[in-house]
Amino acid sequence: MSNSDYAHSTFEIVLAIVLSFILASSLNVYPLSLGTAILRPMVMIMVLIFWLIFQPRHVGLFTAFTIGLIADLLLDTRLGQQAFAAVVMALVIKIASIYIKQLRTLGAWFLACICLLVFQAVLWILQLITQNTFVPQVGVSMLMSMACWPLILLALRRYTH
Amino acid sequence: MNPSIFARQPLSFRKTVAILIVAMILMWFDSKNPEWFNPIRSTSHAAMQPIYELSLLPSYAAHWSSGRMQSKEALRRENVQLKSELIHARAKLQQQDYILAQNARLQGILSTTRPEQYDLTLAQVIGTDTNPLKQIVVLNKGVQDGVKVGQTVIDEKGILGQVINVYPNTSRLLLITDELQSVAVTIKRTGQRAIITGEGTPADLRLNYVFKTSDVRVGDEVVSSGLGGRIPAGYAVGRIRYVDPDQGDNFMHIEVTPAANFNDNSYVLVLQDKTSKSVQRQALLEATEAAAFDELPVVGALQPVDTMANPALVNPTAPATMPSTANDAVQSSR
Repeated sequence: MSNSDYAHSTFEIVLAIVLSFILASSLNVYPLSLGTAILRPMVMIMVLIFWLIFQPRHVGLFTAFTIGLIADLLLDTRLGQQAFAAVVMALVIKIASIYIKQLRTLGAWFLACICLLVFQAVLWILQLITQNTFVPQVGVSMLMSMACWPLILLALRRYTH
Repeated sequence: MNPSIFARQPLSFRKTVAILIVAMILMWFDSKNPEWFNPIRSTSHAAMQPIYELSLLPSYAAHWSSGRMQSKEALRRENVQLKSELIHARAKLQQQDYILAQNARLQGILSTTRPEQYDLTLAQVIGTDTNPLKQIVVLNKGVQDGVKVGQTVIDEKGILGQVINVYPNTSRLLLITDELQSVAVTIKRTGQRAIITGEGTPADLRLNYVFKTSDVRVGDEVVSSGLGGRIPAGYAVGRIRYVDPDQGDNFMHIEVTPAANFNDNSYVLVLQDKTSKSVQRQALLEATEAAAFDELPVVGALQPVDTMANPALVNPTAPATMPSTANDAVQSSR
C-alpha cells in the first residue's frame, strides 16, 4: 500500500499522466488475433477515467477531448465521435464530484463502471445516428474494461492524491 | 486502498457545450470530406508502427519455442509428408506449364494478352485492426520486402483483399469482406459478370447487379474477373450460398460465402509484379484489355455492369489502338 502523505510535484504528475497515456495508447493498438480482439479493454478511456477522478486539477474537459480525438485517430472511428463521448463522460464525473465527498476503492470502481457505460452508450448512439451502424460486440470490450479497471487503480495508486 | 477526496473544480457548462459543438463540427466535416483528414490519419497510423513491430516479437518467440519443443521424430515424419506433397505439387506443375504455354499461344491467336505473372511473397497475419467496424488486418511484411499499396493478397483458397498502407516492416490489408471493398467477378459456370461487395462481417459477401432473369444457382463458384484493374483475374472469391429473386428490385439478392478463410488465417501470400512495369506500358495493357473485353460476346443485358466495373469500356478510343498494342504486348510477354 502506497504512502500518500507526501504530495507529488506538478511536473511529476504531468509526466506520469503523459507516460500513462502513451502506454495506454500502445496497449490499445497492439495487434491481437480476431478472437481475442473482441475482448480488448478500452485502456485509453480507462486511464482517462482514472485521471479525471483523481487529478481533476490537471485533467479536465480539454484533456478528455484531446484523448478522445487521439483515440478516434488510432481506432479509425469518425473524427470527433470518441471525443464527444469522452467529454460527456468527463461531465458525468464532474457532476458526480459535486455529490460525492469521499471516494473509496469500491466507490471509484462503481463510478468508473458508470463512466464506461456512459461512454459506450454515447458512442453507440452517435454511430447509430451518424453512420447508421450498431456494433453490439463492443459491449464485451466494455464489460472487460469494467472488470479490469481496478488494475489501473492498482498501477497508478501513487497518484490518487 | 486509500480513501480519496475529490478536489473541487468549478463546473462550467458553457465550456462543455462549446467543446461538444466542436466535436460535432469535426464529425460533420469528417462525414462530408473524409479526405481532409487523411494526412493526420496516415501520420497516426505511421506512429503506430513501432507498436506493430513490437508485436512481431511474440510470434518470433513462439516460432523459436515450437522449434525447441518438437521432437525429432515428429519433425522427421512431417518432413517425409511435406516431401511427398512437394512431389505431387511438382507433378501437377508440369502439366500446368504445358497449359500455360498453350494458353499463351491461344491468346496470341486471339490477339489478347494477360501477362499475369506474379511473385508470391509469404506473409504472416500478426493481428487485427483496432476498429471492429473495419475488416483490416496487419501483415508482417512491408516496404523492405517489396510490398506496395494496391497489391492483392490471397490465401491458399481464395482472395483475401488488398494492401492499403505500407510501412518499413508491416502493412495493413483491407479484406474483401469490408463494406468499402468491392471486387469485379464472373460466375464460373455462366461467365456472367457482376460485382461482389463486403458486408462488414468475416463470413458474408453480397453479389450485386445480377438481373432477376439471369441464370444463377446456389453453389455456383465466383472468381475474380480482373475488370476493376486492381485485383487480377482468375482467383477464387467465393461460392453462392443463397439466391432470393423475390425482391422489389430489378436485381437479385444473392449471398456468397467467401472462399478464403478470414477468421484464422495466419499465413497469406502477397502477389507482386515480376517486373516493374512503367506507367505507359500499364496504360497500353489496360487499353488492350478493354479492347479484348469489348470483343467478347455480351450475355444478356449486362452493359450497365460492364461500364460500372470498367470505365475504360465506354472509352471509344480504346479499341482503335488495339491491334498494335496487343501484338506489342504479346511480343514482350514471350
